[in-house]
Amino acid sequence: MSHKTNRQIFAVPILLGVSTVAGLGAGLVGDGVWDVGAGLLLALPLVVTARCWVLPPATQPRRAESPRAAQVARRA
Amino acid sequence: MTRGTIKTWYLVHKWTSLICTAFLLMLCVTGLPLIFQDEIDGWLNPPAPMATLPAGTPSLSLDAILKRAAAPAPGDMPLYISFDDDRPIVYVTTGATADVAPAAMHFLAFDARTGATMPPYVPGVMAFILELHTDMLLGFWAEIFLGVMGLLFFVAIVSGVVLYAPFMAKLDFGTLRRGRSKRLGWLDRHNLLGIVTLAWASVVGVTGTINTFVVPITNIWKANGLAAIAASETRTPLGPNRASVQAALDAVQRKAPDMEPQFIAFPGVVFSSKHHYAVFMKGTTPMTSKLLLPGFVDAATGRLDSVTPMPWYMQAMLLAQPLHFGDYGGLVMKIVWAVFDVLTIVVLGSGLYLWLRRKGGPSEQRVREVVMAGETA
Repeated sequence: MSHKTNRQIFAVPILLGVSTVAGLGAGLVGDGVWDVGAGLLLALPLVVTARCWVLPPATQPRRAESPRAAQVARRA
Repeated sequence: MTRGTIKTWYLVHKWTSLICTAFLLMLCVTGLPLIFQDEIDGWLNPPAPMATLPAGTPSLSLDAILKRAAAPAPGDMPLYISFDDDRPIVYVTTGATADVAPAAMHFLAFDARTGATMPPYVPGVMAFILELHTDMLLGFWAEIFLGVMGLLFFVAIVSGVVLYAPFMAKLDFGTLRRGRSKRLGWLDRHNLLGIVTLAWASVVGVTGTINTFVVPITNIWKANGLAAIAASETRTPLGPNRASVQAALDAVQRKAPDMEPQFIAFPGVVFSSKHHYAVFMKGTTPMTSKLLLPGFVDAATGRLDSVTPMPWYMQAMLLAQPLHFGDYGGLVMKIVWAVFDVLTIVVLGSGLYLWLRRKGGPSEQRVREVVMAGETA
């Protein structure tokens, strides 16, 4: 397995962090449509978490492994 | 990252977390109902009905309201007047002296249009939970102590993010290894929930810490800005005959026509000088409604002395309040806030579990766990 770069490791966390901060700010700016935007931006990290949480147990680790396994198999 | 660096960050993460976890759990649990404070209070203690009057019915003069407030508490002086956010209600706080303790103050409420007495605000169960959340009912130093716990929490978050990098070096984002050991499962969940709540927890932690410094920060403002206004010239001594409060509000309102009055502090109380009516105006958006603009009116002569924005540190402190409590973006934001709060409880609890169920051995063992993504068995 190869090492990921910091950029790869933190790409999704930074995106979710920016979304959170933008949501916190949008709620402060105004009411109505700003509140809706704030809710959506703040909810994004929660939706992503829920997606990871409920992925079928068996598929998740294997999905990460399988392309590499296929490559190895082809070379052999 | 060398193993030595990882070990240092691991120790920082371990100790800052261990020290603050119990207090943070208390703050998260008491904070959860506080998100819905308005809803719960409105439900437990429904607002008293008000007389139905035609829209645009003018309000009584504040001086007339003060006369009515003097009747039930003879000997008291007015300390604060404040204005309800939603309804035409004026709240008057009185006390025997300007520096009386809050517990000895009297709280009155009036219909701003008719002067009819309204049921006063009664601190209920939510006020109790807020006190628990603020200082565990132990006063000023306990509040400062919780502020320090908030800082430790922030250091724990930062060190957790640093450790996240070597841990995730070979894992995809969001990987939860199932069907393996229970501890490994919780290690993955701790990392995932920790990294997705990072921004929220940092903002709420840091603003919470700022909130604990309200008293010292306000004192700095009083010692600098306020003192300069009060000492700018010799003052007519304050006698029993004071200038009109309504005229003071009108004078400040003319300088800030787009704003609304939030509260008026009388001479001698925390938020004013010894000589002034301090009229605090607020804006009309969620942000500007927190950034108060004070106008100072000489309570003896009625002259408007100054309308000056607060210094940056007061503004930052005032802005920290909504960002901590999450009560500024409607019900959807409150629900999201509550979910983040629960996830933070899970991060705290799983962190504690991971530490309690650690396998024996020196902290080198933990460093191996970080760089091997938990695959040490």
